[in-house]
Parts: sequence; C-alpha cells; structure tokens
Amino acid sequence: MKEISKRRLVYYLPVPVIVIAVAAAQIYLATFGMLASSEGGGFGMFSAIDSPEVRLIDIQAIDSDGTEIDIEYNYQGSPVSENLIKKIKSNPERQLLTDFADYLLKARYVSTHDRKEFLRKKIESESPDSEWDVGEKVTDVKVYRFATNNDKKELGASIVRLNEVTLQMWKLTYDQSTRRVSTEKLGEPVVLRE
Amino acid sequence: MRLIERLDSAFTYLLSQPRHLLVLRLTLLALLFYGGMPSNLLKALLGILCGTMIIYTPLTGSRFMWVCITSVVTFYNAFYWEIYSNYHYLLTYWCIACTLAVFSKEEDSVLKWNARVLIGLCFLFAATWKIIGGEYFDGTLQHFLFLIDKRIDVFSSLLGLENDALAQNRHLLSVLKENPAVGLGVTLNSSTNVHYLSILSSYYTILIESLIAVSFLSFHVRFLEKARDTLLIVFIVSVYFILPVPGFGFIVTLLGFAQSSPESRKINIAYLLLLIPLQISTLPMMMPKLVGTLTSYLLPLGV
Repeated sequence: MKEISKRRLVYYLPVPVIVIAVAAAQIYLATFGMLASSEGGGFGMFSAIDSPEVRLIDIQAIDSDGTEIDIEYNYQGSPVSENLIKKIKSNPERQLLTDFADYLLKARYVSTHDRKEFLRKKIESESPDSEWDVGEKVTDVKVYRFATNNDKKELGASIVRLNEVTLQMWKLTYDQSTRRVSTEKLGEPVVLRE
Repeated sequence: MRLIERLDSAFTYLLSQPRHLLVLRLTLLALLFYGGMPSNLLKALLGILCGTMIIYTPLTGSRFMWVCITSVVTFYNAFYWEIYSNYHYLLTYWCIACTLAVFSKEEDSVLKWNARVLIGLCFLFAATWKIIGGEYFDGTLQHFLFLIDKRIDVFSSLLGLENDALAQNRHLLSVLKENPAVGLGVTLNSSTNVHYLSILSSYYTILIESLIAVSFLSFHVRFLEKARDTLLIVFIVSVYFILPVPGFGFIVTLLGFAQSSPESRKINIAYLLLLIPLQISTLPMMMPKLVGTLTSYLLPLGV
C-alpha cells in the first residue's frame, strides 16, 4: 500500500471503488428487493438455489369468452425475447411484470394443445414408472401460443384475445431433509383487465 | 522430450514480449470469446476489432482503441445489468483496468495491482454470498445441484446413484416447472453418499474462496501472499474442470496471470497452460450445439 500511495491513485482506485459500489448495490437489491443473488454483479453465483433458472412465470389468462386458457410464451419463434424472460426472472419488478402483462393482453393467440394430455404424454414417455397422477391437480385447459401473421390470415375466426391476465412469479425451494422440491410464490400477482 | 523442449521454447517466446502487451492480448482474446455483445453484428464487429488489435502490435496498446472497446462493453453491461453474468462484469472491470493501464506510464504495475484486487474482491463477495445465503453449511445447494445438474451428475453416478434416477430427477423438475401454481411437489432420488459429498464440497468451496480472498487482499501477511498463486491454481483446477464455467475460468486465469510476478516462470506457465484445457473441457457440452448449428446450415443445401 505504501508503494501505491506514492503513485497516482487515479490508475489504482477506480476499479476497486466501482466493484465495491456495484456489489453493495447488488447486495441491497437482492436482500431487500427481488433481484436473484446470482445476478447483478455481486458475485453471488452458485450461492443459493434461488436463481433465474429456478424462477417461473405463471400466466393465468381468461379469453374474451370467459374461458381460462394457458399461454405458452417461451418457444422457438416466440415474439417474447429470451432477454426479456431472463430480465423478468432475474429481477421481477412490479413495473416490468405490468408491462409484460399489458403486452400479453394486447396480443392475439391460437390454440396449440391440451395441457393435461400434453403432460400425461410427457410423463408416460419420459418416466413410465412415475406414480404421478396428472388428473388429480392439473386442470384441463387449452394451451395457446402467439398468433403469427399467417395465422391471422388463415385462421381468422379461431384467433383469441384476452380479457384478463394474471402474472405470478414462483420459485423452486428444496428441503434437503425430505429431498422435496416445491414451489413458493415470489411477490404479489399482477392482474390486468381489458 | 522434444515436445517438452518445444513447449518450453514456445513459452519462452510468449513470455519474452513486453508483459503488458501479452496481458492486453489475452484480454482481447477473452473479449473475442466472452465479450457478451447482444447481437451477431456487434459480436462480429468486436471480433474484428479484437482480432486486429491482437495481431497488429501498434494497436494492441492503443489508448483510443481501448477507450472505444471499454466504452462499448461498459455501456452494454450497464444496459443489460440484470441479465449479464458475473464474468461479464469481471471482464468489464478488467477492460477499465486495461484502459487505465495504457494511459499510465507504469502499465505492468497498474495491471498487476488491479488484477490482484479484482480477484480478491470477486472471491470476497463470492464467499460472503455463500455464507449469508445459508445454503452452504448444511450442503443444501450442492445437494440439489448434484441431483439435477447434468454437468456434475457424473459424481452422483460414481457414488451409486443410477443414471435413470438422475434422469428422473430432471424430468420431475421440468414437470414441476410447467405447473408451478397447482401446489405440486416432487421428491428427488438421492443417496447418503451424495449427501456427504455435498457437505464436503460445500465446505471446501467456502474455505478455498475465503482463503483466496484473504490472500489476494492482504498486503502485509507474507505467507498468505506467497500462497496466493497456488491457492488460485488449485481452485481453478478443482472447480472449473469439474463444473465447466469457461467464461469465468478464462477471465480468472487471465487475472491470475496478470497479477503474478514475472520472475515466477513456473507460475506464469501454469496460468497460460490452464487457459487451453479450460476451453477444451467445455467441448463435450458444446458438441451437440455445434452439430445442430452445422446441420441447420447443411440440410437446406442438401448435403
């Protein structure tokens, strides 16, 4: 340190000062806000299970007929960018969720598949020995994706609009003693109506 | 023997160039691979810029070029602050340090000091988060990772957990992720040995990260100062080869080289040597992606 004090501090101080300032802000946001500890430059990678990878965005939507539908937003060709999804999962601020809900409310959708059937097939094909009964808890709703311009031209009548959308963030939690993974709400839901 | 001699002369040649130029070139290489630009056009532009600066020596230490590069990298880091990985931050800080160095008259010293403090602070915050996060002392996080993370499940397999059980863990988790709101829960397959391994690896990680932080940030404790390179090399080998994080691995190794004493030839060579296998260790993971990309280009051509 003696050596440094003799030299010009302008070359030696800025980097550590910036690192400490950013990390302090990140610790504050992750502790008192909803920023994931692994994000934001605080070097909290691999420090907790809660990270964008185990955060989930649950979208509950009701179409213009009053029917509950499921929206799939994360697929190849989706107009919702990977960056936006990661941003929401990293730091699900209320304003960001509201903007996303507003976008979803204004978009148009087409049906893709039946959720219950989709899950049953997935479990049967990947884990035939699983004792899971999908029928117990998963409600049988139709899954929709964003309508493309082609869909709009060809399927005009079956294009669906939303009347209400609810966004709720969830995170996975893990109890090592029981080896059980479950979901836990992260923040309050955002509800928007047409 | 001839191979060793050739390698030795190659390292002699590498290390004979001005040290700050070698560090700047390695930094440009890191930017080339891990610059994290948001679009392909920007990635290509940064690639051309870095490639030119690596090859054309008068540009390697150009103040103007470093200001340009650092401005761009810092701007995108600030713009995408929520989604940029920690190694992007580390690279941004290091670019700022490189820019300060090319403006100073004592490049080597500025690079060396900033690299040392950067490693120290990075490990200090990493260890702090692990301690305050509370999931390390009972091994919870590591246990979870050993049961679901494909990159490290080989250790769970070696400790008696069957591959089918691990595949089922991942599958159950993916189903749970699709239905977070219905109040489901899944029980993961595990074994007692995996539990012990989790606790062992948790304490090892906290211990070595804390020791690295202390050894790099203490300027008066001689024995810690002497041990810092060994500790960092042990960490790189024991962590980044097991859990490949190539971006972080490359940048931490580069910083390790930049802060090491030019007189410690063996340490210098060890850091340089580590840069190569660190990248190769990720090849098995990258292969499916590479094959997929190639196929997507070749199929339309009827190849």
